[in-house]
Amino acid sequence: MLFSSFEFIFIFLPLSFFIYFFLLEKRLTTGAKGFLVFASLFFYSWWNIAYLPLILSSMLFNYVLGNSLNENFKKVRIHKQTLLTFGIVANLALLGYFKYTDFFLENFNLLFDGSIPLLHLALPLAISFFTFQQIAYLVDSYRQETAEYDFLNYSLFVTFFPQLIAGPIVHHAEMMPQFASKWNLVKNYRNIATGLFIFSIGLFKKIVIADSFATWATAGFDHTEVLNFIEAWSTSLSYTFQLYFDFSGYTDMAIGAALLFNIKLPINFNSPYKALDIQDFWRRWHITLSRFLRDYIYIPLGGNRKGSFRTYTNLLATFILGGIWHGAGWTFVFWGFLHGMALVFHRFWKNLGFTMPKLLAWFITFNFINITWVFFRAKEWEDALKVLNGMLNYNNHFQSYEKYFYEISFIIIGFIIVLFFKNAMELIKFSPTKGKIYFKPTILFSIFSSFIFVISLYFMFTTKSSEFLYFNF
Amino acid sequence: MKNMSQYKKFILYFFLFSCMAVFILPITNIYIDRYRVFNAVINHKYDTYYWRKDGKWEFNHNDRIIPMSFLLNNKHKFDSFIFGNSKIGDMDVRQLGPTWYKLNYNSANMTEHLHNAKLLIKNINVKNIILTVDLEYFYDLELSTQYKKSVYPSNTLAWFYFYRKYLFKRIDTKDINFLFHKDYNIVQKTDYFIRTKSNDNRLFIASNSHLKHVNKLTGLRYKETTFVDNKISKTLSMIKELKFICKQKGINFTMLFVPFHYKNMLQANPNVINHIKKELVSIDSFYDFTLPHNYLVNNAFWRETFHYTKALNDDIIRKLKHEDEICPKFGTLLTPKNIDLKLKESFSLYQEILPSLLQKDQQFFPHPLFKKKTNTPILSINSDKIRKNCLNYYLVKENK
Repeated sequence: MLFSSFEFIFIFLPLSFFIYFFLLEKRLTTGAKGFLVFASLFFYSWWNIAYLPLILSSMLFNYVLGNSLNENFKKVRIHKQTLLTFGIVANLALLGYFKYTDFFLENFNLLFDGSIPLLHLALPLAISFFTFQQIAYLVDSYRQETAEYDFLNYSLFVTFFPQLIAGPIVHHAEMMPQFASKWNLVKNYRNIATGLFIFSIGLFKKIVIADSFATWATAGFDHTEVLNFIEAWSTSLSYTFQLYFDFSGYTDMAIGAALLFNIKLPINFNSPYKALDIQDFWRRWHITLSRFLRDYIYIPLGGNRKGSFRTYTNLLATFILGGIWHGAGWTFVFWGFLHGMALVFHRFWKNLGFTMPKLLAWFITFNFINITWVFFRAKEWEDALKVLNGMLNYNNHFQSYEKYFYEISFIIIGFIIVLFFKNAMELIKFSPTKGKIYFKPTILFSIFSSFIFVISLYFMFTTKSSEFLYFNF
Repeated sequence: MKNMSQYKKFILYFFLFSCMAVFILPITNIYIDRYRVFNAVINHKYDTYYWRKDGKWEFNHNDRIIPMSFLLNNKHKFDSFIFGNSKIGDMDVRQLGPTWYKLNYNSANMTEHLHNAKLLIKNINVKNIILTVDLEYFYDLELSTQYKKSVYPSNTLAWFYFYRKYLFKRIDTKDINFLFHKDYNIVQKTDYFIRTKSNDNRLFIASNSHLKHVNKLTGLRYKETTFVDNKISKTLSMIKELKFICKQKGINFTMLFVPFHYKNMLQANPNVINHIKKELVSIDSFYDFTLPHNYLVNNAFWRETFHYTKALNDDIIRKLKHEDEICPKFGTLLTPKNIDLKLKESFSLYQEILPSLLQKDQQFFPHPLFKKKTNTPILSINSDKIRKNCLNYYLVKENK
């Protein structure tokens, strides 16, 4: 079920909200949480019920293993490191089987001239997200950083529908206390108002902005052989904006929907295209993934504690893995490599004490990101190279600017929004450190949010919304 | 507490403003009603269509919903229906009787016909149904989702989708132009039987521009890959279902195969056409107007290779009424007994005249199964005299 679908907005979300709080009002706390788990699994199964057993077994397996790793669970005598290795390998094997088997077979066939048939497996929805979440849980259990959670809360942590499909990648330490807190068991009008406000912004970002950019991005990437200079740039920029508005729109909707249930999800975007360097970009883009990569890959590899060379190789390795996480393809690997290299170069530059004017810094950073998204989006190497070739070849014939009036206008609007407007989190004055919201509900905000909500509905009525891009990762 | 009431107000205003805003679009759409789906019943605007100010005609109204809406609101006016597509657009069904109604729409298919027939039978005391069968029905089965082609809703859920679709249609520049009659003159016809002007020569004899058009066309409509077995059988089963319903309800059911220009007829695989006809005859005997005839090989009776002139439609009516046709031997009743013989005859006749047809038109690509055999002149099917008589008849009639 898509957040931007009628069944979600008008049936699933209101029903879940009312039943959940009705059960809580009747003091049926366990029943209410159980209902929320059931609703989340229903939400997940709407896409394909065949994968329901997969998420259920993954959840049960990791819960049992996590408890075994926890110090409080005295009965288990197996070596903990073995248990952790087993847990991580099992999780990665599951992810690898569904996500990387065909990629591996393709390359094997290519390298050894083999003819092993591909499996063409459908990627179970959200597998990359719930696998990472649970690996983090296992590692923290091994580090004795988890408490003894009950299964219902754990199930809610994994399946809670606002974050289930495409993140934010939540950490048990920030979610479990919220599920356990008694303060969160009563309706909170502040959270409801804020939730509606953010949800409307997210819906508008996705339906109106991202889906409009999607038209040009898709058209461009589907016809890479005939792109002229203007078309190539409008294709790449359209995708750059589509991806941001799509994913951040999804995240806003997730945060908004979660707030209705008094759950605060972590911030995932903080105006990333305002970034002045690549490190700054990764502190603003898909923040929860960056956090995961830092805490569970970069730091365990040694981080910056083992000298400059190791720091650089750790950075590169982390980002190549980050690239592979996004998709099974060499274009994703190369995208990760480029970002890793950029971070290495940036660190080297910073160590030398160099600086540059802010405008130039922004220009270089944004264009680097824009160009690397071409590899991220392209289905094949050739497609990426053709788009880049079009972007570099100014002499490429194009008829007139008038033909591209809408694309260019939209791209200008896109720039204005991402560079000069406050993001949703800034609007609600969310303090990530305190975990508090200082949103002031004014009539103006009320009119604004209902206006963008209705415009989004109009767009939903008349056009079929596309899936969120991160559903594929 | 003061803060809480502020949040409550915010939520209240959010829903209030949203509800208000949500209703603006439906109201505007009802007011403009470009497809005439909301006002169809009230004003009986059956034949509302638009002449653009640049002189070109543009089809905009929904030609599926409007007549159905009209019929269901005038249940006692009609009891006999002829179903078809744009080919029977010029057919004057009043010749069959005052209670006959022509339910045709462009690019119609069998799914739509069955849908509408079921609705009519459910709501009206239907006595006669004539189904005009076209080859198009055997590869185009889908109900259209276009605004001007959606079918009349048949149940509550369909009505829900209908309102969702038309009430929340995005307003575009065309709507604004309609609202202010900027690019269009809206023509409302009160006569719902005949769509085109009665003094239009094109009704009977193709104009010079039509003839040019026909000659230019190479008849590429039916390719070898056009017809797929499962679609053919689905259409046949729908026809069977309609026949079954008619039998159950005691409704007279007649079926006819509409005429085809020779370029289209000979381009299609004859085995496929014969298979369809044999299956059709197993459902019911039917009038076949595709068998070789002067009408089909003479461009004078065609607007292009798909749409024929009113002359053919008039003779079809005469055939159905068992009256003498203007051009004799047009249309043959195919029955299980005679079908093999007739199809064989038809095939050999086409084979015979093929060389002459090819001589007449170099840009014509008949199916390989129609092997060249002899060099029989085209007019061996009908005498030259009859042909001239036919043409004269209509020319004289039109001049009067």
